[in-house]
Amino acid sequence: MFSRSGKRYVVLQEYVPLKQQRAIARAVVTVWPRIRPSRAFVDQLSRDLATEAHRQVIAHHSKGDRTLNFLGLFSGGVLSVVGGLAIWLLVQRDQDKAGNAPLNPSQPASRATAA
Amino acid sequence: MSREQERALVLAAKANPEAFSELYNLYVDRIYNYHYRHTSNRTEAEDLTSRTFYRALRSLQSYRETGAPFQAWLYRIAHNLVVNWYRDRQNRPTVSIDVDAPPLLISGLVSPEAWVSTSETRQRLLNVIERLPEDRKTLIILKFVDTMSNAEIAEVLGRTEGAIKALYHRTLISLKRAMSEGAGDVQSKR
Repeated sequence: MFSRSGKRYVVLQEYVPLKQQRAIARAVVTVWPRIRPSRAFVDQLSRDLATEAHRQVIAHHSKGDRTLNFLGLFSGGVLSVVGGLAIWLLVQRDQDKAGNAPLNPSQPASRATAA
Repeated sequence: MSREQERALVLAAKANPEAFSELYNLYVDRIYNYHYRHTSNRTEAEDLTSRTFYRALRSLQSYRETGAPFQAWLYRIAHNLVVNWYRDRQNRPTVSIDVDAPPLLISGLVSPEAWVSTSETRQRLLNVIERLPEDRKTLIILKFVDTMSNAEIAEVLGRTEGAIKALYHRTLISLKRAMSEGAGDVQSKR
């Protein structure tokens, strides 16, 4: 026997069949065709972007030049300091040698120290 | 255009910004259409299109291909600008739907071209789309007009592919309801 149920069912997920999906998509595209910008706008923006790109290229080159200048100055400075240190060390070593030299030139320096 | 060709253009533009014009010519129509469909105003669309390409040109060096094509990256910039535009215009006037108009749906939506053939139904569908929230409108543009994949749309909107599928499903249901019920409120809660 068929008896109508008093239960109410809740649809958990509404499904849109593929055929309807395509129909909706076609309807949207029909009422919403692609709008193109005016030729004047496209050309003007193209020129503006070309100018901006050119400015970037120049800025990039000048940045590269600045970097090279900085590196040159920095490495020159480092080399100067290293060279100065080397000369100072050499001078010190010579002075040490002179200070340790034996009083009697015929005696070796080590013996003079031990005595 | 294939992904390889697009990649070559991007690499060329990265090496020499003056080569960016190729990418510009390729996408200017689509980006403009995207902005126009959101703003419904030529001047606003032109302004946002300009800003999109300027921003893309300036940040092109930071673009890293991570699976998503350059197109998705460009649309992401456009999308961010549109989001800001909506934020700036929160009090913009909304298009009202005529609640007394007859139902839109023809049985099964089997012939949408015929269905939208009358000016009344065309206008009704336009109104329905106009009232969609920004993300759903974006989804419709990218999915239906630009035929992008869910993965690409996810990249644009900054969401997961699963989230895009869910959003697409909800948008379809909203559209279907609105079209079948006539005065359906498509601004359903997310």
